[in-house]
Amino acid sequence: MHKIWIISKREYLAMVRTKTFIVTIVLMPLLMLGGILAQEFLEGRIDISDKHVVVIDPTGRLMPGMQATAERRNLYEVFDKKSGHQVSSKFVLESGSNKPLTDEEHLALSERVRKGELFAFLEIYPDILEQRELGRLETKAVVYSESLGAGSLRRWVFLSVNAALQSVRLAEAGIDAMVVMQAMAPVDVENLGLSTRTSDGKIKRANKASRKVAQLVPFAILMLMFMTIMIVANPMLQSVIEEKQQRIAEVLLGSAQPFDIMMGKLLGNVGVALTLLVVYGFGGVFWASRYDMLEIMPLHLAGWILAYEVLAVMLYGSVFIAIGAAVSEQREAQSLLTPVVMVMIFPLMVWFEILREPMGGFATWLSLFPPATPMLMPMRLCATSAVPLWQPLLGIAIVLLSTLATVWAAGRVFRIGILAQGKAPKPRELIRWILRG
Amino acid sequence: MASSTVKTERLGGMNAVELEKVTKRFGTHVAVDSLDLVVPKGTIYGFIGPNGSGKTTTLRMILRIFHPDEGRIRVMGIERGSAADNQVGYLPEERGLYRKMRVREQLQFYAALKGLRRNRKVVDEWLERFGLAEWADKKVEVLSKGMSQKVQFIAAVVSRPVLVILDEPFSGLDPVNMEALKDAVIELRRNGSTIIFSTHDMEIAERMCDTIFMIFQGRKVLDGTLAEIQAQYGEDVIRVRAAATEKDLAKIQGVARVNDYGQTMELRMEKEADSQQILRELTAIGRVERFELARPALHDIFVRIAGQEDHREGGGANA
Repeated sequence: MHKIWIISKREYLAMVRTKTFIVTIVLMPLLMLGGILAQEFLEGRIDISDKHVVVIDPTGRLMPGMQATAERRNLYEVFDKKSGHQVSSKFVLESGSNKPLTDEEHLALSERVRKGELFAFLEIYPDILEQRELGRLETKAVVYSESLGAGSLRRWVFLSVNAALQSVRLAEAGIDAMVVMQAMAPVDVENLGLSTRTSDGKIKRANKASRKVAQLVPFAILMLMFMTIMIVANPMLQSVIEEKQQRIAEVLLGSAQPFDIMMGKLLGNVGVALTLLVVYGFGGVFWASRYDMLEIMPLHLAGWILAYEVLAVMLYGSVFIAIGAAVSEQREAQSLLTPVVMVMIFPLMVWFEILREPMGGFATWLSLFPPATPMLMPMRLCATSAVPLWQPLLGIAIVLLSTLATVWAAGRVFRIGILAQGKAPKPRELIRWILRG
Repeated sequence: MASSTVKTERLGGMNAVELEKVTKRFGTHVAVDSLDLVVPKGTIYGFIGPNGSGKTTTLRMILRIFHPDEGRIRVMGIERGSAADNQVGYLPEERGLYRKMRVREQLQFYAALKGLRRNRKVVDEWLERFGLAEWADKKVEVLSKGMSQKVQFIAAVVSRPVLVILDEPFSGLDPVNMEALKDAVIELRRNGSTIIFSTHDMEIAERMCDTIFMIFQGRKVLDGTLAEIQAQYGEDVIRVRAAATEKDLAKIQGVARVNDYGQTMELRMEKEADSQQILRELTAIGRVERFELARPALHDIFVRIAGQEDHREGGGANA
């Protein structure tokens, strides 16, 4: 036990003292926030020049209505409500031919779009007013453009053509369009979090900003678990390869049992992962309290997160150590690492589905699949308080058993591999090492 | 030569290491073949042999890093021990140091692993002794080859193990450092430790070892004190400084081989050859300044065996 402690202490210090580690501590949140910041940054830099669109309206009855909608949009909707800055382009409509386009005219308009004179042109079919059947969505107008950004124009055209069409139909039926519009005026629906009791006994309702951030917290927990495991796993692999290459392994084996060496390494790195968790945990709490959002921090999950973190580092760490022991250089590790990394990143591929239905069968069973449990279970617990207690408890039991089995198997590979030289073993050979010991 | 089994019985519990009919194979290659060896406590035992002859494999088996396929190994009287033995210190052939770790920290780590807890003072004493005190807080990666060799040596002996196994401890050291290391080894023996070391330096082996053991192609070919080994070969070497050329000497009857060292030439006599007859023929060719009958040096014996000129277990030219 004493030797495990000495080795784990060395591993811990060797890791946390490196410049890479200190840089990682700073870089990781930056990377996580990077996406959000980049979006904010890009938002202010999108193209807001006027978009000229030629409208071919053979009915001659829709253009006025669309023109009015466009003017309303250009006056109110392209500006940010708070700052007053323009955030999207105005649509400037020009009347084109009042007859269906010939091929020549179509080509001429296309050329104008290519030259950049126009953003797009809209061709409304002459029979658009005849379509009155409910439940049938037939194409009666086409937007032609070469820009990928025309999607927002198409959505706007869809709404404005239909609004103009409805006005024409109402007028034909002798109904006052204003009365109908007022009757159908919509209202907005907000989505907020739950209220909480603060430490001074007051009840605090969730506000809009905290709701937005709260939606990100389960994902942040997933990323935190994934990143902390990733940050410690790779150096473990490299340190074993270094010990093998530099013949340190021989000296270590002359002083401690292979299992003690492996456990020492694992525990040292569990320490590193917990250090990261604590640093980020305190960072998160500090940040949240500064912005008066402490209630969104899942402090009640700290115990689960710590328990799953310890097990996850042991589970994945022992596999990385075994791989390090089995190979002679980093290059050879790649083929053995690929399946492990695939399993590791699997939760990152399904997180959205799980957050959408955290209590669904898919989410429940996947969060009980041992390699994914340490990442998915804390995320589910954070996403909803409806997860019954037996699930995280069963998760802990399953991961604990898997970890024990993995550490045992990895210990056998480590013992044989650490002194083996030459070609890296094939997976079948590795299984033989595990079974025969 | 006395067989190992006889030695074992004679020495009883006085042996640090005992190997009995030990064989180790790697695939189809037999690295060590039915090896017997007894290393008495408190001695300096030198392992010699060409590269790939099985020295390091034997040392690793004594360390229990490898287990023999056949035969028995007892270390400090214990047959089924573990590699992790605080009584045994080990210096591997290639350096086993963490490159990014500081020198003192590294030595304290190894000392602690060997069970020496309050070790700062003793580590500093060793660093001082080897002139490394000012490097104590430097990372290993900035050390020269000789310096890291000394650090590795300290790591092997800092916990005062009763058995010290050194694989090529003197390689890469300049004469001054070699002297310092040699003194340290002698002192360890004086304090009761048993030292086994492998070396390619025959002079070191001749001067330092109580017993020399040579392994060739996995088998023991020499085992005894220098005098015992030389006695097997008898006085079959003549050192000559004379007017005669190397070619002239080679033609003399009874001369098996001539080695020209510039200042002197070394003749090896054939079995049953008469040194007086050779001297007579030499004087007939010209002036003879030196004519000295000698036993073969260890280097010469090594070359004779490893060069496949004359190898058989315990077999000497005159045996």
